[in-house]
Amino acid sequence: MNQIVHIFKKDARHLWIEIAISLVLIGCMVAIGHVVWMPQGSPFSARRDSILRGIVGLLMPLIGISWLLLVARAIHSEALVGDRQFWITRPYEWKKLMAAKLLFFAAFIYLPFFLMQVILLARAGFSPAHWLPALLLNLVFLSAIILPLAGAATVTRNFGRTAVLLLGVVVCLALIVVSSALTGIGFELSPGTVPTPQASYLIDAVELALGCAVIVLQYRARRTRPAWILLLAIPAAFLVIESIAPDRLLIDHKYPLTTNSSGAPVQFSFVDQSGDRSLVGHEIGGPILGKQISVKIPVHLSGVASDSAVIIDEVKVSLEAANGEHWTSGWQGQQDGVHRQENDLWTGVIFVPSEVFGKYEGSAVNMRLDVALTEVSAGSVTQIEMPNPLNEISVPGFGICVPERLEMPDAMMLSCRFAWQPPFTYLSTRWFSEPCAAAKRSSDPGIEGDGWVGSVDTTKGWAFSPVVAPYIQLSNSTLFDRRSLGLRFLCPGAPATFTHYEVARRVQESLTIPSIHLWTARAEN
Amino acid sequence: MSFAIRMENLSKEFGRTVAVDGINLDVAEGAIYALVGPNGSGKTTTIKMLMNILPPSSGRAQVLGVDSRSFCGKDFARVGYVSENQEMPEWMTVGALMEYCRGFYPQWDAQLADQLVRQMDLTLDRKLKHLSRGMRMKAAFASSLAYRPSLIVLDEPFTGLDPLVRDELIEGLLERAPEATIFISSHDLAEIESFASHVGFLEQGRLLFAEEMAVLSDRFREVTVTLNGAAKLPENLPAGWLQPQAADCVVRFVHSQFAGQETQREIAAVFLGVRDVIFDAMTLRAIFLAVAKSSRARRAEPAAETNVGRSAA
Repeated sequence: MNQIVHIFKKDARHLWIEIAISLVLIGCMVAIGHVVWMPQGSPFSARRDSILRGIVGLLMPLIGISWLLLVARAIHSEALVGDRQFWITRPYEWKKLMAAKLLFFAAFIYLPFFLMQVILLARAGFSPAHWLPALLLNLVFLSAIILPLAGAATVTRNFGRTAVLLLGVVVCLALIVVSSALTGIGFELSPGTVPTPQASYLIDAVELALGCAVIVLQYRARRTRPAWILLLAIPAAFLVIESIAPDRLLIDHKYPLTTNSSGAPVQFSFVDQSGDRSLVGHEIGGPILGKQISVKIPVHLSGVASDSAVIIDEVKVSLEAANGEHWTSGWQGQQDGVHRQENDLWTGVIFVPSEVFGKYEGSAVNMRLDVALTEVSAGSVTQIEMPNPLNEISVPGFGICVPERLEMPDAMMLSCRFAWQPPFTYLSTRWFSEPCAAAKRSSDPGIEGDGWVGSVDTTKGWAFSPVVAPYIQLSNSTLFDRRSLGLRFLCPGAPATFTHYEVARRVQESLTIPSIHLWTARAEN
Repeated sequence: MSFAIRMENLSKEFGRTVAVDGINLDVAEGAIYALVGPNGSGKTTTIKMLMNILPPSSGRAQVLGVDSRSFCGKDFARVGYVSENQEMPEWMTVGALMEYCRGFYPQWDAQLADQLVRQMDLTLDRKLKHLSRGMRMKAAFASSLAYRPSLIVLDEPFTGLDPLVRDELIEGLLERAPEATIFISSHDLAEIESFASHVGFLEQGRLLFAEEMAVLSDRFREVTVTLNGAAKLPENLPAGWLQPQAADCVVRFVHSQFAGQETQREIAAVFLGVRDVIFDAMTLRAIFLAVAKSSRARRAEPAAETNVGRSAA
């Protein structure tokens, strides 16, 4: 223990400038980090806040760089590469040396970061004690960043070489991903932001495990060559996991087929918008991009229960020509909203390689869409009255909301903040066509505005700030009349309903569209 | 007899290059052992294997009874290691270095540390990066001797230092000699000769000889033979005669197995008409040069013969 403290004290004394820089940056984040979710007041403060938001945006990468500097400099104080270092012929015990470095990271990276998050949570009105498990888990996710950085430092002689190594890895990854996307080899070109928890957790686990292995190997035996191989296995594993896309492999398991149509959460039917049973595809990409044809398929949804909603996650398309030729795509993510009873049109977007599309173009084909969907059902409902501007209200099970003044007199928007991530919630309130005072006099009944907040994805990952304030988009916020386009008004006292939705089930359904003609849109001269 | 260092067939290869080739060497406790040899002969590699900085390719070594491959951590509390090209924590002051090192050695002798600092004229508040090479080496010495190590390992410690600094270092070192074994590699043969008790000579990774300094001095003689007539070197001279040269009526060579009367009889048997024979004692430097040059000449001979053979063909 004495040796650990002895080395730790030496490092703290030696690296005081780096430590001070990192702590000052964290201190700045504590001081101004709240502007990201703070409601806007006067136009003057809005301008000031936007400058502060810019500074907060800068602070995050700066803090990251300061951590890299701390990690690398601390490890290079007793560099593990080379055979001329002073310390290697002194009675250092490798476990204690490694423990001293970990203590250094704990004291000057983990602890300040943890305290910063506690303070930010408390300032946002959330109880740090309640969120303690999430705070601690976030430190584990932080390790998936810090340990590979430390691993990189253990196989290099100085900070410059560590930085070059990391830059090299980032550039190589970027080149591989970009070239893969351009050529269509390796990574599937598919849109969508479908949650991939398996891949995400697997990558974190690989980073943690290999990062630890590199560090232990270097401190124990200073075997730089095998350590390099282990370290480079991290980006390689990242590429492999991303290209294998384990979540897509598991879709059939995660989304079982519905046993009967009556038990299905939704029924699909093709909407023949053109009237001649044809679908027009648009070519994307170019000679390098591995041409793809994007086809939009309008689909009507019916049968969604009143207390449920449906989210289309992934789609797989199969084409069958009259001559028996058959082609099936992989699962493709869908960027689509949430469908309740009243929101009954879904536009599926599929991508077909250009050469495949060409084989089916012009003739009648049978198209089958396999749809992986999530059914969510309504849970707790909380109703509040819209408070006065800048008066905060805590919505149980949701977050802390505040009507925020816009620059236009009497105009407001609802701004809410959440710890870590918003719960998946349906929000509805009432807009008024006139400013609040006039609306009150004229007994304007207003119009409902609604929207969804949050995501069913509960995948956790590292978060720099524990407080988020996503923009809440409510429908009908703008008013169209004959002359102009204007804003509607959100007024104090208006009812606001927050309905929490939870995942009920995930299923796979299919839609067959017989005898459809596929065409490619031609560019007009 | 107990040994501080034992090497058995110790070898190190870097790819196809053999840096150290099967060294067998024992260093008795209490000895001041000098490992000498030309540049690239494998001295530093040998020391790095002893200190477990490099793993041997084959063979084994024991340092203070511990296998060199597992020599680590606490074992270094008994060893003082100083190397000419050691990277020191340059940001530290001399005082901070001494204080920092103190934390690693339970047997640290604060009084001795003060004495070493005074003796070596070190300024405690000067940063190592601001010190001259000599002063940095003195700081390294002080920080390696203050805990009274039982084995002091020095790799070319005097290279590039002025005579005054060398003298101060040797003085500090010799004060520790009664309680420690010293293993030193050096080019500075004149200095080594003044205090080494044993010497080992490395050439191209091989140990050509290893013995007590006194025996070595007794064994080597520069021999000048004056003949009655013109001197001509016979074809098959004894193997122990190094660098033979003949001019007019004088033959000169280095005898590496000098044995008094017996050597005189040997010379008389080789040369006819010996008028006079003079045996001069040799310095370590002279012995080093004679052995190194004759070793190189021997290595060059087969190559030359091969070339001649090729030309004839």
